[in-house]
Amino acid sequence: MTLLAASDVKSYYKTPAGVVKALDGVCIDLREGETSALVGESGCGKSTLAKVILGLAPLTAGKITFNGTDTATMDRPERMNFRRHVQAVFQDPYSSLNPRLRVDKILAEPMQAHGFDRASIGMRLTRVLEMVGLAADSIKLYPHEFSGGQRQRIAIARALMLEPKLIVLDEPISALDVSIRAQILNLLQDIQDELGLAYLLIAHDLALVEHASVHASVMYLGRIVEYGQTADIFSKPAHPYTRALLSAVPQPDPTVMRDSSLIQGDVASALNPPLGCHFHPRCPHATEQCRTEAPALARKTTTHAACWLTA
Amino acid sequence: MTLLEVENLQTELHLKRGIVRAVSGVGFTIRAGEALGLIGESGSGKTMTGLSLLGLLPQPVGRIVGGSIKLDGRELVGLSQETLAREIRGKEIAMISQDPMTSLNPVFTVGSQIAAPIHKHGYDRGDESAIDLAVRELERVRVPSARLRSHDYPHQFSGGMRQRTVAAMAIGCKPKLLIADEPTSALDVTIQVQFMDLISELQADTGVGLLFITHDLGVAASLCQKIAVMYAARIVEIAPATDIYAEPLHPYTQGLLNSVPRLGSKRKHRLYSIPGTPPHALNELQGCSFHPRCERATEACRTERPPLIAREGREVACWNL
Repeated sequence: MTLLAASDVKSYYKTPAGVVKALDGVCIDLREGETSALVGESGCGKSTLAKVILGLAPLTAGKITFNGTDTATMDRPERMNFRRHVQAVFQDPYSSLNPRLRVDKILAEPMQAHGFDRASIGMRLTRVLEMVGLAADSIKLYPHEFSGGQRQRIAIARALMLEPKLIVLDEPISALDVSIRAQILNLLQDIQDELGLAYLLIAHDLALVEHASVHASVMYLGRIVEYGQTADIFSKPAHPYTRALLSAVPQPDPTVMRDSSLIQGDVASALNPPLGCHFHPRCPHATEQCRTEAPALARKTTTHAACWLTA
Repeated sequence: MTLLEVENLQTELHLKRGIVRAVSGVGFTIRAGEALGLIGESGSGKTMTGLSLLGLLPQPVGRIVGGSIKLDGRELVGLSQETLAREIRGKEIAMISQDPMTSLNPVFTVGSQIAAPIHKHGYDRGDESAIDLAVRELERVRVPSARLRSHDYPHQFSGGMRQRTVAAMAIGCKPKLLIADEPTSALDVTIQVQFMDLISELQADTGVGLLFITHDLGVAASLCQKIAVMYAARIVEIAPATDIYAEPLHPYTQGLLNSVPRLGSKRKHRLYSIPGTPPHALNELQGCSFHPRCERATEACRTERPPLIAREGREVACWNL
């Protein structure tokens, strides 16, 4: 069942240099209990979409519905309910935790804001600490007394306090040491298995997306260029950008040759995106039509892709 | 021919809180044209190893307390800062660091920054000015309309072009050894793959030796012929890349390779994860530094540190092989 749907979402920023179209008509469907991923390079808009969903970035046009209710027209109780059920874990646990608060205070804050009493906060706290694998006595410590991996556990615990239905994970492991990443990834998996909550996973690491998600959307310069089942996107990518991304991923195997011929140049500026398909200046197959007319997402063999060239 | 020979390098940081042994008995060799990947997590000592080679340890806390670094047979440990600045840094050994935004000066043009070391080390004595040579280097790293763009400031360049500029700056004086410390970590994958191609090409062109420092096993695999894995200030395994990726011997290397998701692996559920956390730099453990996290740890591992033992063209520090 659809938990959260974003349709034709646009998010524009005014800057001294002009208007940045961070999101230019994006649709996404998040289903209950499933992990959906947003993948793309820096500046593609994946974090902006997360922020728009969380209400942290402007929704210039389009609609976001949660359990069928439009978030723009929610009354106060509905909004509180929405806020409670949609939580976030950010990339850097060094900046997402207040250094001046002890862990118990950090974890209690979300529930206090929602008017829970002390007793229920205390009970939930014990339960959540256990879920994320932190010792009960760690609540008396400050964030700086923890390692990066443990801090990310605290951030996850905070997101779990209000028993959310959806957690937005914005690059949840990129700031962690390689040997710690798998621990956090497994923890997130265990929590999902136990609680049945949905994740929106934002990542630039394709191997991680393939490992952890059921559905994925590939973004490029403010638009989704391909979406579908993760397994289909990775086995039969339809969009030239997806193919280029996949071929560029560094693999821990020296016998795998990377192919850099599928992509050239840099991402264009979001201030002045190319006409037509945003990817055309870097696409080895671009035609006249690609240069002038933006392709819409359309059904391909197994996925949906926005490309004039692939069937 | 051996270009760089590092033996039993010992580097310490004398902090208020105590002495951190940042590099402890590290040794490796790099031949001309060869690329060695130095892999480790943050705090493992890989960057301090690189900085030791350049004599750029954080001052006044950092110092090399033992061992030897020989470049083309010349001992670098013990050279004065002046000699290092005049004869080694930027000339014989150049460096590319992680973030091009901080390694380029925002108030000078790109061209003048590439020209500066060329002029300083006197490579502009022929017909061509340092600026001409700088433009040539920019062309070599494929910055389009190099002559024109050499008048730009770093902020006018994209991230990928900035890192290529840093590469141009590094190779401008035809160094023998290039140290690249996480040069692609700040870049997107499609830019990363282009930059890696460029580094390979520069290596093929100039025969420069490469010390490639990274935490990313994938990036190192595509570039390096040899891999050294560092853990808690020491090298725990060093081997040809094809061997180490196909069959890692040290439990830490095995754990690292098993814990990263790989493209195309159908295994959807749990990843292997190394238990625990890396040790604290201030308290050195008895025995093998990895033993608290190692599933195969025995009594010997807890009491005695395993030395690097050579076997079949590779070296591993583990009692349980």
